[in-house]
Amino acid sequence: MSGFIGCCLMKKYVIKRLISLIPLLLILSFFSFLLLDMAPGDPAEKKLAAQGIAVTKEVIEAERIRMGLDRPFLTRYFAWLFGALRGDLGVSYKDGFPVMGKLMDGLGKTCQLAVSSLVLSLLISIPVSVICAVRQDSFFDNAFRILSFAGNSVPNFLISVLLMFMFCIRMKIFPVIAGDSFSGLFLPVISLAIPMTGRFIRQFRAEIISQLEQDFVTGIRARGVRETVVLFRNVLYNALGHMITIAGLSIGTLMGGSVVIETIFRWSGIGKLVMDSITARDYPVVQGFVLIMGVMYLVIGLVTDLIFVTLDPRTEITS
Amino acid sequence: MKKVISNKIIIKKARRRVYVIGALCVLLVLIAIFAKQLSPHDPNVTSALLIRRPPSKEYPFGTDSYGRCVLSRVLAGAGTTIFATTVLVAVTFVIGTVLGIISGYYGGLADTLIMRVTELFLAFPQMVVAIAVAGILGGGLKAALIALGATAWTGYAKIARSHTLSVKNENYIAAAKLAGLRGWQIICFHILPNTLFPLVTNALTQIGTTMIGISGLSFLGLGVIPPQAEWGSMINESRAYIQLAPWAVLYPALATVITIMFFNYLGDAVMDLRKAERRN
Repeated sequence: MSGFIGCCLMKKYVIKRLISLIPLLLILSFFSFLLLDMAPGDPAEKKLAAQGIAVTKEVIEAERIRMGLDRPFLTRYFAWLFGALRGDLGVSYKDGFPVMGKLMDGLGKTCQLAVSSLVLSLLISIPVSVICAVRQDSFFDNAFRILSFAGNSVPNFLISVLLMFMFCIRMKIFPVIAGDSFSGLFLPVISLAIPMTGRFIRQFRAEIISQLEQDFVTGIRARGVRETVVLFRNVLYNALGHMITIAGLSIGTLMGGSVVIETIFRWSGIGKLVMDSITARDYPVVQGFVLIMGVMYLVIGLVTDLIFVTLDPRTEITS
Repeated sequence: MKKVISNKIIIKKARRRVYVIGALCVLLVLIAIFAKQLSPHDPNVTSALLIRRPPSKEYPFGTDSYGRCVLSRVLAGAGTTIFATTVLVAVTFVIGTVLGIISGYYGGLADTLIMRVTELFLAFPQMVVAIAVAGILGGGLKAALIALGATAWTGYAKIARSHTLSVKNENYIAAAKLAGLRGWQIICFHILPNTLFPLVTNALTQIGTTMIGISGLSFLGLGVIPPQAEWGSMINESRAYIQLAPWAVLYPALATVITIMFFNYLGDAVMDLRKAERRN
């Protein structure tokens, strides 16, 4: 019976969350569209300049009409929005290729980088933070507290410049330009993973310790349950929801970080594409980038929330 | 009994730690303020004769590929970074606190509205928005600060609101209301002093993150416009010739790491102190 009620509540919650996503998506799309208008100067002129066409007044005027810039703002927004819903984000100023295709080309490579570094960070930080929390103030704990503090304090661009200097230029182990090779993946992933691992260890450790200090843990221990069982079945299970939320929130930082890292290592993902587009003033690509990253971030946030509620149904029922 | 004593010692130790690291941070700020007086050369003077000189007595941190003194530029960069961070943290702190307290104290429509907007700003990936906004606005420190500040205030608003809610129903607030104090008076004299400590703690922990954000945008060429000295953009400029003049990268890098570590450590120390005091 309670399972049935729980299932109903869950369904209701999922629907509620999906509905709450709609205004956020609308505002995100409006903001992305607004970005183009925020750019100083006339879009038609910028498009022609990006293509290297000499601009006269007539040419600009013709281009303005062709791009539909003579129509009112909201009309243009809705036209763009319905296009976006069908996967059409307009064309690049620079070469006239569809923005969607350009972004999709880069997205795979960026995901490769992001997922690898996220997995690496989790593989290191989960066992380390468990050991740190269980053996508080031991040598291991203190050493990793210092290391994670340091990792958290170094910007990722600095890590990648220093790694590049050491491994590519001094030792010549890895290629300077990442290219598409597997060995090229190594340094970008490490550069993204170091600050993230530092942050994860700190937050996971604090979360596990706060679970260990709960009264029910003392109660279970008093009943003579083995320490490993307490740790894995109760403490870690309870901390898991928060850990997944922390990991989900870090995706935003990861998206920003991948722009920096891809630019440094010439990794041809979506981040390098957007930096190249900013330099070339190819703003529709930047606009599409914000929209796609925003949608992905919202969806990941929703998924982590749902996992959290599934693991710990009290959160939704009580609130 | 034993626990009480040990907690007192912990508080004492935590307080000493805050003083030591606080003094070091103040020292960094003083260096940034007096950067002009401390730097041996003009940070922007170029010289064709002094290109990429290794560190020497005259130029302790060497020179970069324009023949500029790296030490002077690192000092000038301290001014840029610390000034920009202070402005950003202070402005977002004030905006977030005011909105959070209003939202918590008055409740109702104001609360719903402010919290919706806060959630809205939290729903988007901060750095992605910052890069796009700074990139499209055409770079410059002001654009970078706006881009980073757009989301930074939300944390303060949330904390201010939750602490306001927890003190709002205390007896002394009811007493103040009975005494005929107005809303703003209660906020200024009763609620603000009681929520300030957690908010300041949060502000201190945000300094390091903000510095990473500013130097990251500058590194991408979206923050400070060269030739103005900033550590992120200095590292970006000189990484192209890192084999020839590693000092031009390493010293600004060192300055960045030390500054961020000091301020992060200050945040940690104050947080630990607060935890220990609350346990008492």
